[in-house]
Amino acid sequence: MQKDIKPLFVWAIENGDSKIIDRIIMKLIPEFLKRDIKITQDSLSLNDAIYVDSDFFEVVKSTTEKLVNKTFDI
Amino acid sequence: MFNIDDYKFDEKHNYLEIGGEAMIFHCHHYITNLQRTILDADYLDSSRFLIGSAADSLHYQLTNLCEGLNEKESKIMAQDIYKCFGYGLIDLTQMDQDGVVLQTTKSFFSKTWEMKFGKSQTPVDYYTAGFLAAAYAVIYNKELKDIYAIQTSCMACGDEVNSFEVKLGECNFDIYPKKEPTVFKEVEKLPLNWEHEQKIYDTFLGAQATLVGNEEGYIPAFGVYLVRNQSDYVNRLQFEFVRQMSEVAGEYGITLAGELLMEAGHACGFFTYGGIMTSPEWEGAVKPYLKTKEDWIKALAALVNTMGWGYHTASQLSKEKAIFRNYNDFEDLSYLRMYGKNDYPVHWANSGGFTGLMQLIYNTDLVNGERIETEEGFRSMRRSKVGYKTKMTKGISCGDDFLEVEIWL
Repeated sequence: MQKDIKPLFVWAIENGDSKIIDRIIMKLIPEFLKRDIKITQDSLSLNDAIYVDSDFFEVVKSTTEKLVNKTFDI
Repeated sequence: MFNIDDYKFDEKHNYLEIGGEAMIFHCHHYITNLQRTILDADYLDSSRFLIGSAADSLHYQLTNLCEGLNEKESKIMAQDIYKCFGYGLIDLTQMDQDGVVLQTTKSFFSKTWEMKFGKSQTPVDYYTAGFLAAAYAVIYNKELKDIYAIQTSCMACGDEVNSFEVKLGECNFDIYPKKEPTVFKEVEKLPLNWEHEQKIYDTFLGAQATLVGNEEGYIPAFGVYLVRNQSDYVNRLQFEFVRQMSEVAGEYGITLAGELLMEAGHACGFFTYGGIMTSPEWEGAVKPYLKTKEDWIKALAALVNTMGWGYHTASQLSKEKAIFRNYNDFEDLSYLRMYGKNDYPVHWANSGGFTGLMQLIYNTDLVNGERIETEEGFRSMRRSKVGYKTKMTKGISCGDDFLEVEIWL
């Protein structure tokens, strides 16, 4: 099953550090590269949605919540 | 033993050198942000260059500063520069031929990490591990490659003291090739073109020598904690990080790392320049000359040109777009000295700093005395305002005559 991580990233921008997306990707870059995803915070708006497998979605969500220090419950 | 006044500021190149090492100020916002960025990439073995960069610079500097000194005098010299440069306090009395087990409760890195980010899971004072390795090597005539240096407890983790162990053993940090002497780019500078530049420059020239460690070994100033970094130490952290990220992810790794390194510079520009421009010194000696927002930026450039970061100027300056230059900027000089030429610009800290300055002047009400001092305030402001874009267009390490960066809305 595929899930869209863009809403998670939008939430992170609204709640986290100013370059939070780049931090999340920096943490997980080997995993993003395995899925052939190469984005930065600045290029995020070019994508309507970014679909990943549900297991990886959970990894991104967990990392994002840790870096933002809040729970994503949207 | 060590006296900062013995080291003359090089006005021609806007540069300060001590013991063969270019010295530059950074604030705790920059240093902690930089280190966090590096540590975020936990798939890299970054402790090797976090310690190794410090060990290399300090080995070079202490070798020069301790020339002709005996064992006791050399220890005092090392303790003195550690304190003077704002890193805290260390007592090397117990160091001997076998190394040292050392404890301290005064550490810039541990103190400011906790101030900015809260508790850390792992020790954060890699610099001091490298510093102690270098001091041990210089004082007892050992090779860096034969030394093991580690931090075993850290106040940023909740421990009561910072503890370090340095001894002969399998080296746990990177060793670098011998570096070249600093070579300046001797070209005519584009003047700042502001009638009060010389007045501000003359007023603050020499002020840098008063920014030295207090009785706790810290340099609190302008609402931040400053440190006097060995330029090659702090820049090698950037360069090694980017190099390793390029191995992980190629050009994409360089781009992503660069974005985060610029963000560290942005925070530095925002908080430190904000502190300077709301200080009593600014109020008394600078503000009477300021009429426009552009005056604020040019005055800040005139002031920081006395601090050893190169000669800052602008060829274009407005709210919508600015093109800044730095002649003999510290990042490019370091890169050339340690790595030679490069095919992309490497001045992320400078460029982030310029961007932070634009944000501060045009996207806050600082000129009317309203200062954003908190982390949350900084984040909220960045979210609520259209941010500046940054493009590094020229670099001395790329063969250009100066650093140039374009910043626009």
